[in-house]
Amino acid sequence: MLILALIFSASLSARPARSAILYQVDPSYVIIRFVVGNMFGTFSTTGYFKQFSGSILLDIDEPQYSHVDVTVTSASIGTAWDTANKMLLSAAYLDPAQYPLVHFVSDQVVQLGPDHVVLHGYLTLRGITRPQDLDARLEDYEDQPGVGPVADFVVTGQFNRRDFGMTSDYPLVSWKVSLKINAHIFLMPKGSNAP
Amino acid sequence: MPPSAPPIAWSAAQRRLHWLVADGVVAAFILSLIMTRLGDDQLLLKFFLYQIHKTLGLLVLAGTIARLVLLVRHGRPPLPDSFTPLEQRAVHLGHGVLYVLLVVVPVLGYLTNSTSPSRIPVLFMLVIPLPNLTPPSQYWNDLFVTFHYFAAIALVVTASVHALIAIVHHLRGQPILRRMWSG
Repeated sequence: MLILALIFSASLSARPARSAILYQVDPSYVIIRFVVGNMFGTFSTTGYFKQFSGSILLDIDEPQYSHVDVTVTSASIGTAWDTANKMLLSAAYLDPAQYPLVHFVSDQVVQLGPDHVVLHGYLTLRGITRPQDLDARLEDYEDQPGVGPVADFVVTGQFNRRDFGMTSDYPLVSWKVSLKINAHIFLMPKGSNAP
Repeated sequence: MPPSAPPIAWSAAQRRLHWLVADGVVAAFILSLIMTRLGDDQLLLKFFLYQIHKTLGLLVLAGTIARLVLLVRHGRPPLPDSFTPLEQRAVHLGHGVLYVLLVVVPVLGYLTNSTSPSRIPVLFMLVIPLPNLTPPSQYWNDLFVTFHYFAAIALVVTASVHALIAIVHHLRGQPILRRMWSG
């Protein structure tokens, strides 16, 4: 779940070429959300992770050198539904007692379009690490006075929960888990010499 | 409007609907006792039992509305002369309470479902999704769960008293149970 992909290909003026800037993931400006279908899609359940941290090395000019590494506290998962919360925290699902962290790290970043990259990486869930692709799009970019450039990224991906050993409750809970991450990134780190 | 002269008997439709609604209430009540005791390790079964309970509740509501329409259009046979005026009034009051509860309990059940944070839809007959009428709210959900629970208890108690009185009258040789049974 859990990533942040911020690869950003628009050219920013007055930045030195081939400069990768390291951003820390700020949970106040990032939403990590997942959705599962229930009973063959008759309804769905959405939840969030509230605690996570990580870094995004963003190379504007050469996105392939960018890098994302995000770690999520698995016990911070939550939905609006108590029954679902109990399930997700049980041994059949995230099992935080055994596996306190969920981790995504990018391995390769491939540019698909001017505002669109795919992150090939690895997702570790319940101690199982598997290749995971995430699709990252720049949805909005704005240069805000006094703040500097701000970028909104939407990162999506999906995985099969069986691949990570979560085999209970089908068809009440679909195998497919969809991820959607919204990241609001201040591209000008505080204290930097803004142009 | 009821005809000027009351009918001498319940119509076949009125009798059939009476027993269908009664069966629906009994079945929904028994299901509620089972489904609320299932643990989260039996979620799928729980899901199906709740959906059957919801379907039964909607059938009870529809059947009750149909009965009220028939009551207005067809009227009802008079009570035996052996009932004193006070008893007659008590009977009508009791029946009125039953009709109100037969509408209120399913409506509260539907609102319980609508306000639930789970966002599980009502699947009528297990397949037809019906819309939630409200946004999710834990606060209102807790309230509706409580109202639905106590209204349902009131319905089951009132209906049991109703059945008991009918049986007692039947044992005393009065035809009120028979005429609801076979016209």
